[in-house]
Amino acid sequence: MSDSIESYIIKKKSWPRFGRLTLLWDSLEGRRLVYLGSILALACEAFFTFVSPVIVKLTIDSILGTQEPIIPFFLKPIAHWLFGPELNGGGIIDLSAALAGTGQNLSASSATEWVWRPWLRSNLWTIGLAFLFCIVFQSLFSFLASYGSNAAAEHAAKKMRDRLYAHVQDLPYEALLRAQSGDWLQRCTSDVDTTRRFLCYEFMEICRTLFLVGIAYPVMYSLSSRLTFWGCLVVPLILAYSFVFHKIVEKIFLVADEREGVLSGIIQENVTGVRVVRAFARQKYELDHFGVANDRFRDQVFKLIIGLGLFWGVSSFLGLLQISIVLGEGLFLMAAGSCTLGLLVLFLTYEQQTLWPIRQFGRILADTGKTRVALGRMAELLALQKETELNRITLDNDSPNIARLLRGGIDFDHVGFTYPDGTRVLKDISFHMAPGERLAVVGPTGSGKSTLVHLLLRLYEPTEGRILIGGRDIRTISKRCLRRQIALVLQEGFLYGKTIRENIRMGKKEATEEALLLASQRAALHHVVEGFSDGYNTMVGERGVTLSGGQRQRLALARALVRGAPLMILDDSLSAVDTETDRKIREAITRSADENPETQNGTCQPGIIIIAHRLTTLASADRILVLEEGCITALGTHTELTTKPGLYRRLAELQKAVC
Amino acid sequence: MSDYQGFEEKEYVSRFDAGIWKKLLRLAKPMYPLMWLLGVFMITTAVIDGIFPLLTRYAVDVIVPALGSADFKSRVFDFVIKYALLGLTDGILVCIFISIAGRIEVGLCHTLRDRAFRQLQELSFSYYDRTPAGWIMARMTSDAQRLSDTIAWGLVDLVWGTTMMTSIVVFMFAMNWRLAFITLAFVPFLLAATFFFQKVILKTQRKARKANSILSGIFNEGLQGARTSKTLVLEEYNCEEFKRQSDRLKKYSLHAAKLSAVYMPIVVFLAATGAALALGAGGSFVLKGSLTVGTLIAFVNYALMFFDPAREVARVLSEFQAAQASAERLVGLIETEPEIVDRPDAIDAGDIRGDIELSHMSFHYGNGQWIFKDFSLKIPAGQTLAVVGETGSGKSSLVNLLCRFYEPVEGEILIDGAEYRTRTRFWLHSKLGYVLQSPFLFSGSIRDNIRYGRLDATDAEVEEAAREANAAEFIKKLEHGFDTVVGEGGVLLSTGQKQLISIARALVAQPRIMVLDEATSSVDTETEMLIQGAIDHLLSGRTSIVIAHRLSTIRNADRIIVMENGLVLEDGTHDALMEAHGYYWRLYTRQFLDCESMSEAARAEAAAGAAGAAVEE
Repeated sequence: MSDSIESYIIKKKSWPRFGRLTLLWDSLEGRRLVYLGSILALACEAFFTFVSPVIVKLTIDSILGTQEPIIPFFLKPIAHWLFGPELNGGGIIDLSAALAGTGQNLSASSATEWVWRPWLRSNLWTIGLAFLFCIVFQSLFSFLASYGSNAAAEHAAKKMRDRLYAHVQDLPYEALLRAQSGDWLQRCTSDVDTTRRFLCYEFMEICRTLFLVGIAYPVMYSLSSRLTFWGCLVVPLILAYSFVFHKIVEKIFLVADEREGVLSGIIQENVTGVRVVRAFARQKYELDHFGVANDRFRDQVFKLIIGLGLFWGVSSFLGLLQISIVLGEGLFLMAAGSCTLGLLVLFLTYEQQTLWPIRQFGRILADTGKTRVALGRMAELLALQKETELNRITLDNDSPNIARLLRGGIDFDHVGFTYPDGTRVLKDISFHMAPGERLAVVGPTGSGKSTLVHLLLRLYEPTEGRILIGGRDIRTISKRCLRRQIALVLQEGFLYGKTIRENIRMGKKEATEEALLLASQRAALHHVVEGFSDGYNTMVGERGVTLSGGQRQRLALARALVRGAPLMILDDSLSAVDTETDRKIREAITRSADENPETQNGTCQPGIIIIAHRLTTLASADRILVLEEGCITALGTHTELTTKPGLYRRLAELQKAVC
Repeated sequence: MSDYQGFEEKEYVSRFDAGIWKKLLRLAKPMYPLMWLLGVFMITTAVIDGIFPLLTRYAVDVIVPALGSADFKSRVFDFVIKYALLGLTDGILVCIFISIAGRIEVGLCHTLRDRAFRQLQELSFSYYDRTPAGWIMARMTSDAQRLSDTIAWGLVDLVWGTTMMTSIVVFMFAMNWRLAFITLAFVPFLLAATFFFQKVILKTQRKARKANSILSGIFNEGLQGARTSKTLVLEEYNCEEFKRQSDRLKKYSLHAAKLSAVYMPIVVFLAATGAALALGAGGSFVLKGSLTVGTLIAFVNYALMFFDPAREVARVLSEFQAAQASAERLVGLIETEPEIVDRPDAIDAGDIRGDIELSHMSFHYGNGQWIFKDFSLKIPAGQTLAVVGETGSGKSSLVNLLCRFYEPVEGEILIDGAEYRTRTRFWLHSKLGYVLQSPFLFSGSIRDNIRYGRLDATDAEVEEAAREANAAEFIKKLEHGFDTVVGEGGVLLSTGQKQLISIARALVAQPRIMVLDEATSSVDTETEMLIQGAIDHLLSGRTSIVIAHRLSTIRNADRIIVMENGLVLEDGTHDALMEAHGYYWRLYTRQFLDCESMSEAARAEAAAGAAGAAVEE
């Protein structure tokens, strides 16, 4: 068999080529355009962010002052459309009409003065309005970018969660048995969240910074190359500093994380193991132990904060240094006449707008590493093979009527089974179970009883031989079909955090209230439930009542009974129920099987396989199968087996002796 | 259970409760000087932050007109250096205040955790019985973290924000009060919008968080119950249900995202309105000559700067309100009165012989239902007493009382003839061996775990104890032997192996009194025999009380008592009780056969097989 333990546990870096990127891309499906749109909106937002300072510049230089109006290239088309090709009339606003209103005319204005200046001077509100207009657009696009990216990110997160959950549900039994629930939970919750944050925040910030820098520096360069040079002086330093710094901080952070884990571990152990601590009088020892861990964690976090303080302090200084350089150089250029006051203010504003994102840029770049890890961890889980992908050799799509097939009985034909970890549990098992037979299985712990019935539901596949139902190899029957029509009650069945009624209904979604009650009565559960104040609406599990072992088993049984399956398997699932109730339940099951409509039509006799230790239970079966170390050592009726020496007779004698 | 509801996460308390915060701040007393210092630094930083626009104004109004003058170069240099120096000061201040706030945060968190952990070591078992472990964990980790975070950085932002806003207003009025009035007209709207949104956003975020934790719960259930779901073919149904919940989470998160997406533009817009007003009105003042261009620029800058501190203050205030629930829970934990404490005159009387007597003792748990009424029982030193009975018969309570995990409500418990409350708890516990039903090991090496029984045990003693507990053999087979790390990240031991180690741990303690809650969990026949051998070793030569499940343990006991409803129903040896055909006989036949007879039979068969083989030879 190619089937080894490796296929059932998560392996590092087991994702296919580009698995992480594909995962991200697939999860965005349905919102890809929205996400693209929000990135475009981000570009628009960046554009408008740079327009409003231009208005301030124009106001200072050409309206309050008398400088010639200079419009940065990215605004020229709009300015020309409004004010004319040379900014002196011919645009959409009628210059002469506007000037007429101010009582001035074209010729009256001096040669150096901008033709629009008089009108704008007497209508300063238009400047405020234009400023606001820009802000409105900036806000609008900021909203679109933020909402769009969040919508896409939440959508992607939901898709990833659903996909991971569905994948886990579809994993084979063995993989679920080996699942490390804490680790898996993290892969499906916090790792998804890390990726969501990347989509709606980190990636968007990266784009925003690129857009801001991509617009700001060319614009600045077109207005004054010298000032731009001075204005870029410290920027690479900030960028490099921020990146390198966060790489270092990340290491401190990892240690802090580790120490926090140690600390929580100690608390956890002291809470769950409080009895041991007290019984050995180890309070002082634990206090010291905790004290050390608490100190170590504190010191590490403090180191981290000092690190961050250093980063913010230094980068804040570097930013201000950059601005002071621009201020100084600007003033020199002004003295030389190659810079105006408005231009200087414009540069200062641009610097301030870009410096903050640049400071953040390094941190965000350093953070993207976390997303890579998170995506990888999800991809590793998704790389586990689903149940349907295993054993691809067989037909797996046929859903015959099991009840009808069962008329031919069940055959184990030289079945052997070895667990993926190499433990051989069943050897050459061959027997025939007649239709409607009540078969009991008995054997010591570890003899392979549970495995035997697991094979029948294709929770595992035999590694040797085959199993036939009505002459048909069960590998040609779909797993779900098989499980739908064979009711297996596990040794330690899981009860869902729902009401008792809902728990029973999990057996059969469309069951009527009467069917639920009937199943509950047959499982000897009804009178227990009646004792609860909320009856069938009582919650089970952590947030509800604590059921005793026997009650839990009966609830699991009721859930199986409600299914009305033509074959019922009880895997030691009445062990916590007392002998008397056990007998009543067995009788009720037999009755329920008799009342099964399928049976009444005569299509099939009901079959039951019971794994048990109790002599009374075993004796009531038609035949008893004794398993020892994976082999059948005896098979026959109670009377036959008690007359032969062997495990069964020994067991019967022991139990008889005390009864 | 209504009890559990009390531990439902209470996320939000609407009314501000100064009392809780006072209690919390009292715990932070050693931090007071640091907090004052932080306040001073924050005020200085905020004022300096507010000065920068004034510097720009100075440059525009004073230096620019003088650009033609002879000494302008030195003036510009002078200015740039001053600006950079102020920047340097600002940077250093940022460094310092972050360090101080960090010191406060980690110090506070350290103190809170330390106090709570000390409390946990003192709290009685009644507290642990009614409090879920997860609840305690959340108080110790996230609540302590959240509170110290909120207090330290809340203080930073609160002081910085209010000082910043104040200095902006003061500077504006000092420069031009008329323009200040016009520019600041937007502030009430800004504040109203900020506070409103912060509150609503926090509320929706809380909803999303809750949906998220519900989803994690469902996921966990899906994982735990996956195998059962498989046998019930519920995969698709589960996926549908999960999708419904993940839809809910998506809806709430989107709602929160939408609010945040609206909030920022609105606040920016309001701030820009201020700037626009300053530009429009200030521009005309400039034209009239009543305002300098530099002042105009400063006004525009200030207007744009205003919303940042406003947002911070609003955020901090709503965070404080949200953190109040954490504060209540943590203060509640720290203030819980432990029920069992040493009397001030309690003494450590040295060695214990092991005579135990319960004399006219009555006991009930917190809920008031009597478990024991006038209960008396004598256990002479060296006797092995097996206690049997159904769930709820009082056997666990008996053990709890003997171990002084609880104390009797009436009557007394005498050890070596002395009422045990006149002794220290340490006196009893240091001579007590205790093995739990489900073995609990600490993370760490096997050696550490065994030594937990007696901290000064030598390596040889540890190994000797392991040998006596039948654990040495499997331990030696492990790659790192006694230094093998158990638990997460280490070797995963089977329940049977863990039980053997916990028996070795009890043995190394050399206790005078042994209390054993015997495990019933199914282990394979071989391990079971090992455990049985180890238990025999454990019980010999000391006073032992065993809540017994195994046939062999019960049969080997010197004396068996059958308990029901807090009463001793039958008392005697195995043979005597079987003879009596009473309750013990019924219990024995009903309860023990299923679990035991199969392994007994298998053992007997194996023995017979071996004997047969020997005969054949």
